Amino acid sequence: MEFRRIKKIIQFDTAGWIAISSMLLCGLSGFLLAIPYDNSRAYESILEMLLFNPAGNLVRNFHYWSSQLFFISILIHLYDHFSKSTESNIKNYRTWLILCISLVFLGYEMLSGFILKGDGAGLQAERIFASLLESIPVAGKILVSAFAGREDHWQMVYVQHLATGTIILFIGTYEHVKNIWPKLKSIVIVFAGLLLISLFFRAPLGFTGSNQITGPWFFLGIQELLHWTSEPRYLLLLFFVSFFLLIFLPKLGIKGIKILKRMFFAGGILYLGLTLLVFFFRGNDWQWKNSSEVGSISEAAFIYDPVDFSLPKSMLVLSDKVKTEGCLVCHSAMKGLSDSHQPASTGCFACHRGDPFSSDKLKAHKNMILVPGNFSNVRQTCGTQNCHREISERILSSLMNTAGGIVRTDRKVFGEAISQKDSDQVENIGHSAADNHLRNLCAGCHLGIEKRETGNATWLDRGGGCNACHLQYNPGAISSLKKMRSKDPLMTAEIHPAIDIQVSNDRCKSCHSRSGRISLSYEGWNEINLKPSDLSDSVHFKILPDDRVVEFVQDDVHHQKGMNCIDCHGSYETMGDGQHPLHEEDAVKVQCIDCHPGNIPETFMLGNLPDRESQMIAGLRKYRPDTRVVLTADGNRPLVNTLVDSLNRIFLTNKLTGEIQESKHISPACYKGKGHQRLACESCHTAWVPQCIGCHNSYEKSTIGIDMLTGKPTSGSWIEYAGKNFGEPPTLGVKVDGRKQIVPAMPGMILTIDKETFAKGKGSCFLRLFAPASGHTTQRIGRSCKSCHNDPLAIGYGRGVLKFKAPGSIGKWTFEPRFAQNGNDQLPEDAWTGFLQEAKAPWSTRTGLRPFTVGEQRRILEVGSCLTCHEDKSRVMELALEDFQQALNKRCKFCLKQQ
Amino acid sequence: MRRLTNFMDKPIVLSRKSFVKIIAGICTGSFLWSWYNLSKDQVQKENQSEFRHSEDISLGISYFGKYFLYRTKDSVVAFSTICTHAGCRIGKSNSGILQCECHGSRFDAATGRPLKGPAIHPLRQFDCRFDSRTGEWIVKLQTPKDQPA
Ligand code: FES
Repeated sequence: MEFRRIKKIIQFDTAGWIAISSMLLCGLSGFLLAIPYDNSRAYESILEMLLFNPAGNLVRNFHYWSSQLFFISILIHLYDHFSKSTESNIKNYRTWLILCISLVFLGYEMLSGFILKGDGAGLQAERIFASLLESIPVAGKILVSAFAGREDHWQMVYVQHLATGTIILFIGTYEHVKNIWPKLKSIVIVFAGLLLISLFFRAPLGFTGSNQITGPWFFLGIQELLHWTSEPRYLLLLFFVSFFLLIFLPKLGIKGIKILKRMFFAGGILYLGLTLLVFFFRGNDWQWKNSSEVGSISEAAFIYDPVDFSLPKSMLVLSDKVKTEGCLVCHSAMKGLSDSHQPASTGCFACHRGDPFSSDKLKAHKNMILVPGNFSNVRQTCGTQNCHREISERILSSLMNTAGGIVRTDRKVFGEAISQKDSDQVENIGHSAADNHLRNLCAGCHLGIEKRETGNATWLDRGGGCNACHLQYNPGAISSLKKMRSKDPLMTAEIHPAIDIQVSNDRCKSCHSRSGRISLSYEGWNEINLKPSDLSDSVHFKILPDDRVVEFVQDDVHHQKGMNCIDCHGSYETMGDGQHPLHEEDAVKVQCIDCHPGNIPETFMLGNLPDRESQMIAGLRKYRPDTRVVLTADGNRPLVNTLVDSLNRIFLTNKLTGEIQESKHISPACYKGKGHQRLACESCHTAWVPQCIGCHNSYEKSTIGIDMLTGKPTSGSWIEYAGKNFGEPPTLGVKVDGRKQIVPAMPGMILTIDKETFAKGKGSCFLRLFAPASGHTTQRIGRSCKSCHNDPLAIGYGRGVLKFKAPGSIGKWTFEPRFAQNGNDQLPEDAWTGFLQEAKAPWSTRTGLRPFTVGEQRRILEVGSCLTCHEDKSRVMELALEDFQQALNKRCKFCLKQQ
Repeated sequence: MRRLTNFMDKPIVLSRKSFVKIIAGICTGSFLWSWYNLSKDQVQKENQSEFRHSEDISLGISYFGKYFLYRTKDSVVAFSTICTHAGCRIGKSNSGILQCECHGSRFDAATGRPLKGPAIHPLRQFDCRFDSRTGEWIVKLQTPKDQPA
């Protein structure tokens, strides 16, 4: 009994009469909506309704929902007629024709309603509609001007929507039923239902800047068909064929009508299937959705947003200068952001999401993204099409994100398989001995680590995606943050941390003060094995915020000149170039000779920068497009902060201070003679590199560690016990990379790894691996001859006493190491190779880097033997540098020969 | 008064209904005629738009809403930003490849050629010439004279 009553209420009228009720209500609400809606500023006027005009908002919702009900009821009504064959009751063919035309206008009313929102999707829908109309032969252009109007200009669409479409629908209805007045009960129920929905569910509105077409739902099937065909006019043909078949349907015989109706039914089902397919499976750029994409390409059908009548009564109008977002009602006075991210132009939603169409704080802040720069958010924030999409794509394959170099090296050291591909990414590592070693000791240093808190990154914070480098809290922003945390209600005129390209050296330090420690070295500090409590002198020593103690050795000459990390390392080095470099030396293209060439530098006109991102950066830094800048020898990358004048002098602009300094060409001594042609600049000009020896890594099952990738504690952890630290000139070695080059090297890993204790490890191993040294301790004057040719550390023997003894006329080299031999390979603890011995592989963390062979050692020492008597700058040594063989030929009777 | 006759000299009987039909026909005809002419004028007016840019256009893409410019070392070409597939506006890009977000077509910004479907036709090229008198690049939203439409 109850059920029957409910059924009766639900089936209060036929679909046809429900359609008429909703049409009347839609027409009425449309009439009311025309008051606050302004077609010359369609989007802004709708936004104003959403934000400040609850009555307007309600009317708009009502208009939207009544149109939806009208459309759906018509479809059901059509189905009813066709399935019961009652369409044959329409005896007058003129009425049939008018109904067919009305159906077309029903589609037009729905589509034009979507267009009139004036958002990005509406604009794209208008363009598609116009392009389809335009492809109609002869009348195309004129139909466009009548029904689609001019792009970005909705006057014609508005007129047709408001007048033509509405009139035709009313005429069609009247022709069909000869009455447009439904039962009072029907209209009351429809009104009440629509009012209820309209009070709670918002009519959709997209964004203005978006080029993605997200709907309307009844358009999705057409969109999918369009995606499949390269010739949209076929779709138009399909439409016309269907339309004419519909027009001629009553003229067909019973069998023909039956077949045609079945075809329409099958078409309808297919269209519904396509709509659902798009709704659930299509993602960005109309590609199949990948697993990380959430939501649908279609605009959400139901957006719960109750109309709030407590909003301010006074009608506020958004300033034209302000980006059209509700967030700015409260936050338009936000200061602190750089020009390129001003809220007035960028808004808040682009970075922080939330609900920009609500002026209610709670609703507006729902689903906000606190840290937009995290890579898990970046596709919705910094990396969207209109912002920095390409950077956000290439940074994902950069070493600062993948930490691929560290992963490969660690796996190699542990004797585990390495690949040249993306599987060697820190985020993909598993739980092998090497991978756990990385998790416990290294995996915290990569950009993919999420920043979870607001505020400046501290020394121990790493990662944070884009924010790791580009977010800077100045004192004003810090005090604003404090206020925000204290929930101060007077929050509106606050200071946002800066988002800019002024990346200070401090941003690099938290990661680059470890391992190669280039950030510390650059400023002259070497980490030593002392505790803070052991310190007596605070001038030469410093305690880092993480309690490591550093000692001042000598800072880089570029640091002495006030230069910053970003002055040399530009966007493509730090954020990657979209390639997949294996190690840091593959990613870094800038070399000493780029700014200190021996002859005329390769240059490039700044105005000709090929990519928009570089142009933008140059523009932001206010560099003049007619500036000639240096092009790097490796990779042909323009160094945007350089300037080459007509005399081919190079000047460098400090990116942080704007100060300009001349960058000198290298001294002729650097390329004079054959002797040092194979020497990399760094071999002579690296003052010192941090060197540690005697490390031991063991796995301690009972120690609680931390998995730096997940931030969770681990039971059992790899622990590193450091040996001795030195800050001394580097050892030299040979880099074989097509050609041979003498390069500085430093102990990369002289260590024992106690894998035995790790459940999956295969035992303890000892390794003596040196790594290429990128010292960042450049000195203006190069090393002395003796510091290489007579120094056992430089040649690779380690520290000790290297002597050239001459009991007779034949001299002999001897070496007394300072450190005891390591039992694993019988070499002194700090050596790379044995004294006048061939080294045994593996000797380096990289393929292509090796210590000197015995032959090479002998040749170095032969020069060293001369230097035991002759001074570095003596004529003899000058000659030796130019032509060593000639110098040897000139030996006198007092000269000793090397054994 | 003479009665109206046709060429067979038979009298023309103009009923009230026929009269209304003729008037309605004339009105419809005038309406369509005015519509056609007004629309044609409007279309022509829109196509006559001309845009000027200073000489120092940067290399690569510069995006200007209805069109974009692509500058190589020796020339500047202008293309429409309307996707040749179904008319959407293609999005901005920082590289040399432009993507249409509607159905995923891609175009080579230097030549306008489609790199990925569904679009198969190249982007419409606009007339872009250097005016040596003013030192400006002039873009007209029309197909260049030396190009097939
Ligand atoms: S409109 Fe550009 S791909 Fe369809």
